[in-house]
Amino acid sequence: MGTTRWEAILKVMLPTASSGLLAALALGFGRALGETMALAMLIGNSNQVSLSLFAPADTLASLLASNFPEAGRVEVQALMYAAMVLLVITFVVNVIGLGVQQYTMRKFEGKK
Amino acid sequence: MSELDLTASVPEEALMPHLERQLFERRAMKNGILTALTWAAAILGSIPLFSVIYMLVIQGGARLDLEALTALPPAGFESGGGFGNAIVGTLVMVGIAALISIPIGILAAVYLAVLGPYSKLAGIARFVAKTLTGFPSILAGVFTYAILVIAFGYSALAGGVSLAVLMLPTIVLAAEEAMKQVPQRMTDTAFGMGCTHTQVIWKVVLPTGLPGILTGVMLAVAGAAGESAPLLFTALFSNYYISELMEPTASLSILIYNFSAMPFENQIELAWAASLVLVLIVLAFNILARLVGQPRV
Repeated sequence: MGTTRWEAILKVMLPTASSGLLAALALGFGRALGETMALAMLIGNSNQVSLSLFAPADTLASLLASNFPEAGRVEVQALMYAAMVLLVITFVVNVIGLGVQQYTMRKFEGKK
Repeated sequence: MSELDLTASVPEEALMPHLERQLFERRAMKNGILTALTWAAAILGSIPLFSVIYMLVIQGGARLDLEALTALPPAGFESGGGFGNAIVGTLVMVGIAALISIPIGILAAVYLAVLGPYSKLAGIARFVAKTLTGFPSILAGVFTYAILVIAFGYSALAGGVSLAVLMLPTIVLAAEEAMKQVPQRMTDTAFGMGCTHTQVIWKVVLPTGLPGILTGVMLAVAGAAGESAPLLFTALFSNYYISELMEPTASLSILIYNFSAMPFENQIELAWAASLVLVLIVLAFNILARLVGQPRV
């Protein structure tokens, strides 16, 4: 109809694919949440709450990685709790991603 | 007056309008700028892979020799040494993981693809497998720690089990997809000739779907070989060659993690070389996956 290639991409393709993109976003987000080793090597592993982006910190996964190998009984219990929190968060994010993906598939199958 | 004169007086643009886009027209310009932006994004996206490979070859290639591949890890201020035990350990643990997860994964996929594709159980299993693929790998380690390590201590077996947990969903989903590609008329024909379910699965579905199944298995193996988080507190680490399955075992990824944080030049060089070896192993499995996945001509 005389659109440029980019008008076609922005106004037709992106809106149509948006829910699929959203699903990919959620699943990718879930991946990053659980990433362990790259963070454990770089983040500095410090157990404090800090608002600075440049101070050493912790993520749930890196906390597990750095403390589990030499944990005693009580520590293991605490770390198991941290693992459960991580489990719940990633589970929710993943379910949202999968849900959106399923919804997209159904939408496209319905249109055919 | 002739008609020729009439046309001559009309300006040329009216007869021959510019049908091509002008480069500096507003819409065309936006088009060009956005195209350039996507080019930039595509290049930016491929920088990490190439720079990582470049660094590995430059830094790791320097130390990669026979000694590094076979010797035991050096102590603090020692020079030389290698990571032979870590290579063996990684291979052993991936082997254990494959032994556990391949049979279970393929059998589960048979159920999902052939026996009860629309049953409630299949729906739940599919959902679980999909969620598991997105799960943090360290949780597989925590799980194995709870069921094996607390009772039996750190061991290669525990490491293998945690890797198996990670490989299982990949294998299930890939194998199911491969078996779904088997044409319906082939299975229908087999049933029509009086085959039992078992015969159809063994003689029709599995052989036909084999290339796809193998691809999934190889990709799962490659992923497991590069995994480090779950091994951290299941297999731990060891400075010696593995002698039995129930003792702490070295693996390449943990060696890299440990050595890269050490203050000794020698260990850091070895970590680079070990990274290069690990990348080569993973790459080899990926290429193998491509090769077996190609349909036979």
